Amino acid sequence: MSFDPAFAPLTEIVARIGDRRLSPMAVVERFLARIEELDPQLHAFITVTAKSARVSASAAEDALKSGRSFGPLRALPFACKDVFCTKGVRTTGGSRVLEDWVPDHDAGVVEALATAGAILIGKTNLHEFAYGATGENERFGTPPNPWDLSRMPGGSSTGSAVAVAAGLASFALGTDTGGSVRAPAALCGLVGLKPTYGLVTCYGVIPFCWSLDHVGFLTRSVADAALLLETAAGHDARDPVSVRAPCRAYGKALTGELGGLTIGVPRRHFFERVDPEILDATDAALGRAESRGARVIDVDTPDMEDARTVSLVVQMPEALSYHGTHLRTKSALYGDDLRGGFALGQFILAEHYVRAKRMMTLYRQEMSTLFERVDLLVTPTSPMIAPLRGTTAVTIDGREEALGDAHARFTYFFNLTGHPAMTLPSGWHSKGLPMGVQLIARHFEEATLLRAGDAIERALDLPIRRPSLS
Amino acid sequence: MKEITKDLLHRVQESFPSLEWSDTELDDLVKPSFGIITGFPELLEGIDRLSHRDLGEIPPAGTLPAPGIS
Repeated sequence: MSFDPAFAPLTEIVARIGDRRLSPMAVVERFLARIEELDPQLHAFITVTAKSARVSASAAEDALKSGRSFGPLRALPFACKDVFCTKGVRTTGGSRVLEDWVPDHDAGVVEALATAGAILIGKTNLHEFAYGATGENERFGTPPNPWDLSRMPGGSSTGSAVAVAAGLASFALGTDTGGSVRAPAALCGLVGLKPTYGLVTCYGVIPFCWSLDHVGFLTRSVADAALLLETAAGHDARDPVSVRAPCRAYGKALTGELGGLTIGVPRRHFFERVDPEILDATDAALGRAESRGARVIDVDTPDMEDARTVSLVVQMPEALSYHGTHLRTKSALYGDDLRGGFALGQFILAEHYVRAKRMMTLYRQEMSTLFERVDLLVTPTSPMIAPLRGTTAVTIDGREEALGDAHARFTYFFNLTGHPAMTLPSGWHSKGLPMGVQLIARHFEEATLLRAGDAIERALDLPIRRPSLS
Repeated sequence: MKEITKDLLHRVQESFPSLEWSDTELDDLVKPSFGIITGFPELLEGIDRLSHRDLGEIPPAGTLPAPGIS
């Protein structure tokens, strides 16, 4: 198969541009052509920044010709969820409310990627203001899953996942408040990385819930995620929760071996009410981890009975607080489901909110105790494969559950605790859809997380597939 | 704990500083129909359960300490 940047590893695109086998303009044009051809049916993008991408590609070509260095992400065309502020480019939040808003600044992470040479190719579609896991969007269209157009890709970083899975961007930025990077990544056959809370700046990102929001990356491989994290991690004084953590050479951690690591498997809760094929794939991934030298033991996580309540009690008042100003003036422009959630936030008492935040501390303490025994946890990412479009509730093992709750069942807890978590493909379901396995590590131990993910990815050695789109 | 009613939500809205919510939105809180997130009555049951937990002196969560700083 000839080299196609649309589905190539980032490291390979960077290497080919570096030694002049590939031109930045050719890479950008390849992705723009795919967007033009496929996005009318995929609705992955809200705004395509073709003109500025071509200008940047031209500048990159000039730099190459003159021998100037222009950063480790040289000319990689990327997309970002339309909650990341982009200077001079409208940033809608996927909503009519901000339909014409053009920020005068870039989000911190967009700025960092651009400084490293990456080229913004467009802003991606999402569940309105990231409130929801299905990616349905009345205003900008609802993206289908590239692997089966009759199914949902998950959300809320819906367009970001679709764009990468369909080869419309080399990587994408998303946000993850309860699983909004990891769930769509799993449902679309991608790697989705949510770093430790505070490791990557949220400056310039339209918030959903400050206490739980994380910036994340959607890529085709773990090595790609490591490359991006090296660029994006770092303290940003403009973000009050940004942490001064030492930046690591994450790529160097990818040894392919897991010797000396202990993996905990929380069978209670995280392996219950799951599609049997997803369970089998998760166990197969664990088996491969053992074959690479890891020790695998069963563990118990903190009691999950109240965790969903804690998450919602923190989320809804914070979301309402941000949106209050717009609600006073543009209330009718919000979708019904979102306004319903805001109304809920209005009637939660302050003591409830504080109690939920105290529960977050308790969960962090309990997880720290668990992480004294293990280096990593492994769970399925989602209990289910991509659902059919229009699904609102699912029944697994006889118990009905709202779709959004089911999608986030294994992911949201690690937003409460702030631990780094990543999904990677674990295999292909008999229905032809991807499945994902989730890895979780100690705070700021992304190097261990990426090392383990990369080793499992290599050991699984899944066949490379591309979605059939035309 | 008594069941939440639309009348109660109306009175709260009238008596406290609050945004304005339509009848439809208040109806949906009392009897959820959107199916996107847990409904309000179910959430209140969860909050009631939380209220009975003794959290001692545990403070609310803040930023994470940077590595190497305890």
